[in-house]
Amino acid sequence: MEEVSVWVALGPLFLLFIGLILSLILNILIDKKIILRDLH
Amino acid sequence: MSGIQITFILWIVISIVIGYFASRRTKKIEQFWVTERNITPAIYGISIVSTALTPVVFVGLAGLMGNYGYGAIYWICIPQLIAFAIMLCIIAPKMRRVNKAVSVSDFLADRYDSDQIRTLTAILVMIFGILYATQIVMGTSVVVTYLFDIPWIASCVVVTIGALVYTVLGGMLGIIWNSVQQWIVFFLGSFIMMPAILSKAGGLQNIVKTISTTKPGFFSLFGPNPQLLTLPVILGFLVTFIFGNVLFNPATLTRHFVTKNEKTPVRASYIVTGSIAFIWVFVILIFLGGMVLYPNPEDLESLFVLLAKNEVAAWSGAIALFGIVATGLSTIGVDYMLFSQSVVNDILVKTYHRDLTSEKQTQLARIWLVIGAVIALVISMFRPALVMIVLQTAAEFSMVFTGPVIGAFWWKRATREATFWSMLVGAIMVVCSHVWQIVSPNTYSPWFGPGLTGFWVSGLLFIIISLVTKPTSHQLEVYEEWRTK
Repeated sequence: MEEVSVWVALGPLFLLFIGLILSLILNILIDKKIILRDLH
Repeated sequence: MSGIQITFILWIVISIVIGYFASRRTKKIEQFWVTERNITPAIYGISIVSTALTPVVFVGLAGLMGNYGYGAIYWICIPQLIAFAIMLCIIAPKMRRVNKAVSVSDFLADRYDSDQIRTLTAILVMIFGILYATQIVMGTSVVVTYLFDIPWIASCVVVTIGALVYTVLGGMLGIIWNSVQQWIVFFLGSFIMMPAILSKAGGLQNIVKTISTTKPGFFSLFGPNPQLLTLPVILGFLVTFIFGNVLFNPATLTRHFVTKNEKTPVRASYIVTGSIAFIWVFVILIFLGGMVLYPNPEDLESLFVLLAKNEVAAWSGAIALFGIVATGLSTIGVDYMLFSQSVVNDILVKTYHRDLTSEKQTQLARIWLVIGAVIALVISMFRPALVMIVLQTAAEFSMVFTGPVIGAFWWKRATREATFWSMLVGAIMVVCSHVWQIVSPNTYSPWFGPGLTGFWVSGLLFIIISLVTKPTSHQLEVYEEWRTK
């Protein structure tokens, strides 16, 4: 059986923060008025 | 009575007191449904997290990870977090622009100018609300039974009272204010056991080594058993969890109406995606430790409860279990609201008695909250085996809102006829797919699973019927009014 290193096993958990990164990007795009320009 | 029991009772009393203070700010019926529409990003974000997380996160995720390994993270958790960001930054601001609506039925009926759509949506949401409430009452009662060693029926009653009283008193504001304390409890609950479990299981290095040798492939993209995670299964997960659970779930769709302005949900996206990610990381690490401590548990879904009961100090175990109860209570009230809102606002008032006074409507809303809670309580007391299938069906109903909601904002040509028929036929197809699965499991194909079928049948019908019918001038006016650039 092949052993997996801790980083290979636990690294993917950082992918769960992809939603947070996407939120950051969308917040910037909205603030810079690139998308949804007329929000109030 | 033990200290843990006293703390639990005190906690329920505090929720009720918060509900009482919320009731003093809830005079008119509109405030009962959607508060004063002045909720700020942090509170709104926390309330979304509290509604979205249910005992399923703690209990069901272990079962999914047992079957699919990390496949469950890649194909369920990560897509859901992406969906939350899109929901809050793209869909929620648009929903907020709809100023008069208090429910999903209101919103669709206004956009497509049709009382038939209002009634159909109300019926779907009503079924969704009551069955979802039942499911969560049952999930939460399992934990309460473990926690206090009391009979099943008593647990169901405790859970129902815990969620119902503050909802009846404070309406949506009672739910939102309470979601803040519940958020603290389940954040603490998901974190508190982790250090003890990880060290008991021999540290991260040992956990990874043990799991990767006993369950080869566990950490891979398609899990330990790739035959289970085929393309139709993955697609089914994606549509059910992205569109059904997050984007077009009536419980969250309704919540967007309470925000202070159109930017509120955009700002709240940080707190929602951040807290859910943290909670999942904690819970997943606890499961990994648990898999080493209990290599072959009889029932993976009870793993979290087993760990809380046997592997950590009594108080930290109790707080962890309180956390599960908090995720349950915070969602049950919302589902009662969906039921009551569908009956009172959508069917009774908006369809038949528009002239009913605000006081009378508030009174009726409270009565129907209690009726909804009693129905859910009675079903959960009997713990029927069939109920799980019926519940899943109800959850998949929200799939049929995909076309109508997207069309409302982004497609000028979307029509009333398309909305009505795509929702009706989509919901029927979800039921048919489940019946097929039960009646003839040998001929059943996952390509026609309920989530997937509901999604593509209703989506396709929505597009085709919209193309062959014409929107009325009133529908076009509303479209222009709601449009954002």
